[in-house]
Amino acid sequence: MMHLTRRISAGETSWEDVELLRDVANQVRGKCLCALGEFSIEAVTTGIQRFEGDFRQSVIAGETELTPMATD
Amino acid sequence: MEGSYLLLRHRDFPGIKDLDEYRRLGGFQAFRRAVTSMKPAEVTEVVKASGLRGRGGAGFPTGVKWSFIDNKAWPHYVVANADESEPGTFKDREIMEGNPFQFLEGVALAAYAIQANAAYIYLRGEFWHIAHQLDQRISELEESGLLGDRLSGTDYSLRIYTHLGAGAYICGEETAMLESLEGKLGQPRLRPPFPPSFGLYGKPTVVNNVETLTNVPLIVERGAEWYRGFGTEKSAGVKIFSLSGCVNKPGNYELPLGTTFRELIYEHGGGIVGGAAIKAIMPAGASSSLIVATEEALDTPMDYESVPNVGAALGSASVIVVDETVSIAWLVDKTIRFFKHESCGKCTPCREAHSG
Repeated sequence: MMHLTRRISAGETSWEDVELLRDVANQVRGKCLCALGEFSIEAVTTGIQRFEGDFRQSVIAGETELTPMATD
Repeated sequence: MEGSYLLLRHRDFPGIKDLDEYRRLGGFQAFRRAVTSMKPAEVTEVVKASGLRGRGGAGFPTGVKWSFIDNKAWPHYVVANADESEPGTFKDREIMEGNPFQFLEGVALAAYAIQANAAYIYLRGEFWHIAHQLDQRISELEESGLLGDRLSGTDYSLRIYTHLGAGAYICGEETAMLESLEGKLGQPRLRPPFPPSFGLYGKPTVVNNVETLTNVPLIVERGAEWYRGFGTEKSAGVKIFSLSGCVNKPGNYELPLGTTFRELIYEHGGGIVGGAAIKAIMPAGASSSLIVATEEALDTPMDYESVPNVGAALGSASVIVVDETVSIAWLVDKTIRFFKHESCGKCTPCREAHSG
């Protein structure tokens, strides 16, 4: 998830990575011995669910920025 | 002597960190009375009746936890959780620095209630200076006859010890803390069995947060009914809210449970920096769900029953405020970096999910 969140935050990715991040986070739920593991993904799952626009904006901003690099 | 605070009493009485002043304000009368004239189970009953719930995050009823102690296995232990490693939580530090004897008396009362002769305070490694201060205060209590052997002429003896962690977030989790205290790698245990039946060194153990224990002396001194006069019916008492993020006046605010997010953020916290619009609230530090800061959410009472209605948990009540200038994608990246660093690695899903 760290690599995904870094790429998403930096805008160096596409929406598929956001969906992958959400899927990976959901795989952690219910599979840890302690509450710390269990709650570590709350910000990811609720962030994507409740603030989807922020993730879309990050991805779009990144694609816009990335275009010149891709055509160089 | 009453002031406006129950826990952060050093704000009313700055000298309370000295034993003489603490005793002048009635300190250690509750412990002395308990040891000399109350049965251990009576102390547990008072705490149970007060409605006090664990302030570390889970909100489990404290007196009920004490009553789960297995009386067929001995000895018993009390461990005070002073690891305070959740990002955004900084209340236990203020208690231990400002009002240390009330906390230590709470530890002593919990120990008497479960008849433990040894209690440990597990502090995060960065709190070495606080551990040093507590060691000095524990020595003062021993010199004054308030801790040690055969207290107040009874058969009850109690020693309190401090123990420093080494900077691992996971050691704030109670079973990892017990492993660490035993000198092992700090990783959580499979539960059940739970600590009240199989805790430190495999013996019945109560693990309570610093703030939880600091409530206990006043509950025993003034009674369960008095304590229930604060907060809500199911979430009794006061809570220290550690307010941080995009607010004008971050800090610790001791308020009754059931105070709204709006009152905390706008009345006590002075509103959002630069007058920006509020966007999200993390009510329980980095391990918190993100609440959308709607009008309805802002008017939600901060207690154990109401916060789930807006899709989160009260947890340790370390309220991180996020304003409109912050990208949630950036915030999520920050929290995942933290958890990647702190995952203890025992459970494969947590270890691999955060690293990849």
